[in-house]
Amino acid sequence: MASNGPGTSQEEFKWKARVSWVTGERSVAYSRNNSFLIEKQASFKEKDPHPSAIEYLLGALGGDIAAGFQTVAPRFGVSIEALEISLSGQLNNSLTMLGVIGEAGHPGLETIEGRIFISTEATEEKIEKVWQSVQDRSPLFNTLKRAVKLDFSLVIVL
Amino acid sequence: MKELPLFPVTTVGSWPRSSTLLRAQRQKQRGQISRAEFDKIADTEVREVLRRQENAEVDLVTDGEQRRDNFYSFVTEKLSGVQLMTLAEMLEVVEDKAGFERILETLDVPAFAISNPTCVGPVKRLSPLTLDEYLYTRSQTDRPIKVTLPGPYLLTRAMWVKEVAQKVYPSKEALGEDVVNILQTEIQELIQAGADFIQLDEPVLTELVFTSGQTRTFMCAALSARADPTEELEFAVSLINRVMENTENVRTGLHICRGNWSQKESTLLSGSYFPLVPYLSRLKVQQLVLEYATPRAGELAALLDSPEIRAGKELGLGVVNPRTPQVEPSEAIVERVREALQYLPAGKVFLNPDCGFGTFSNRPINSGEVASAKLKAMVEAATVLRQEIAAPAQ
Ligand SMILES: [Zn+2]
Repeated sequence: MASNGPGTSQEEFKWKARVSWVTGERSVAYSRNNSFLIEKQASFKEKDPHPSAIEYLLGALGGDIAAGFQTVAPRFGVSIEALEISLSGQLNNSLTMLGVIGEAGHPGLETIEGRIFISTEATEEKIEKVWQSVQDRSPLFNTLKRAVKLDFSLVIVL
Repeated sequence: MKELPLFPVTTVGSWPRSSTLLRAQRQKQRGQISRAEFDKIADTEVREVLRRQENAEVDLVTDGEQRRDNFYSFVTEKLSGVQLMTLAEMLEVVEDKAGFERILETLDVPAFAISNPTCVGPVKRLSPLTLDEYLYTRSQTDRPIKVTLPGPYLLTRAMWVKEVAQKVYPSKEALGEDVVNILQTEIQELIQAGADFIQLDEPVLTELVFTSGQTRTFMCAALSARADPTEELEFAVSLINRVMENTENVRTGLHICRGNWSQKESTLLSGSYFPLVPYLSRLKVQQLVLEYATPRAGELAALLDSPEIRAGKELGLGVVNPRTPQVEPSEAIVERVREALQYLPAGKVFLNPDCGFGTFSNRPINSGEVASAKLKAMVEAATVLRQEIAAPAQ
């Protein structure tokens, strides 16, 4: 088996996850030296023991963008004091996910909305440039934008 | 106490901060400049705010709360046992994380931008909360001065984050004791120094009566568990009345509003003061400083139909909305005051905006220019009203 360790060339690198069903609608994902639990596809309840698949998707996109800002901003000479991203998404028709007969549409996300709150001394113009570069380099942003409308806005918080 | 004319025009306290001041505030928070360096910058800003009020001929002025980050968490650095925790930090300790997320979404703010003065040890006064602010203002103006202070209920509610505070105090009531003592001392010192008007801010009181079943948006209150409103209101009355002991030699007021963080009226609370009347009438304050420029506050009658309120209280009548860009015509303000005069004698009505013009320093809701124009509109209205009283129309 090809190792993910040193010596693997970047072109052939493949990311992997192994997901095992645990019980009920719960499964566990293993990737490299980590593991995390996933509860359901999407949940309408107020509380659950673990995040749902759709929340991991939103969280992953947010984590990707946040990390992207950290790598891109210094190249523009921008220092970021605080960064927070709120994400939300609505299914095109959640009734189709529940299997309601006769419902039109699909159970996929229609739009993912995001608010990126940044505290920085940099000008809005400069931050916009950073954000453009973050989008250009982001693996998840580029994957998802081909499938779903990504509606993100920047808010500078002093 | 200095003499005030009929229909004194005043503000509720805060004024929008300049970008220079905001930058200095952040530098102070990050330890890049000292308190003294910050105060020097703030002094200039306070003088500017005073000049604007004097130009508008405001009768009772404030320092615009220029030295504060907001109307209550500024006390943190003046007290021991209190630590400013951002909501991002609080999210780790509070149980109802989903509830928090709803609040943040409604407010459309990041958790890192909101901090709460949280009780982490025995709370004691290290230095005066507002006396220094008052003394500087006194040195810069001849006009009567209003000093605003966070109320004891607001402070207790905000500081009491159970998960953290119960390691120090057995109960919210025990913490309230120390808060009362601190405010009593502060108020006595302000009276000694000659303050003309002391206003307590207790915005959370509306949260108690208007939000059953709604998303709670008063961050300072949302941190503590929801309690029975009647009990909480009784608790608030007892705290406020103890703070107000021995205040016969100064004019006192209590400001209550429905929130002032957004220009979107729909996100702010709504409902008349009626459910609060039985409590307000028992408060040992001279004046109620209330919102009446927004329809969300309900009709004057809901408050002034009460004989106890009419007999026992002055009214700081909110006649301009601090959040809108349009300046209210002075004729409309005169009309509103005339309505109040159906219930109260002329000597009992003050004119003020519904709330501060810059409640949270990093969330300005209006510009200094619009705020000044609104002050001028109130002064115009007061002038008309004074003339009417002096020479009644035939
Ligand atoms: Zn207010």
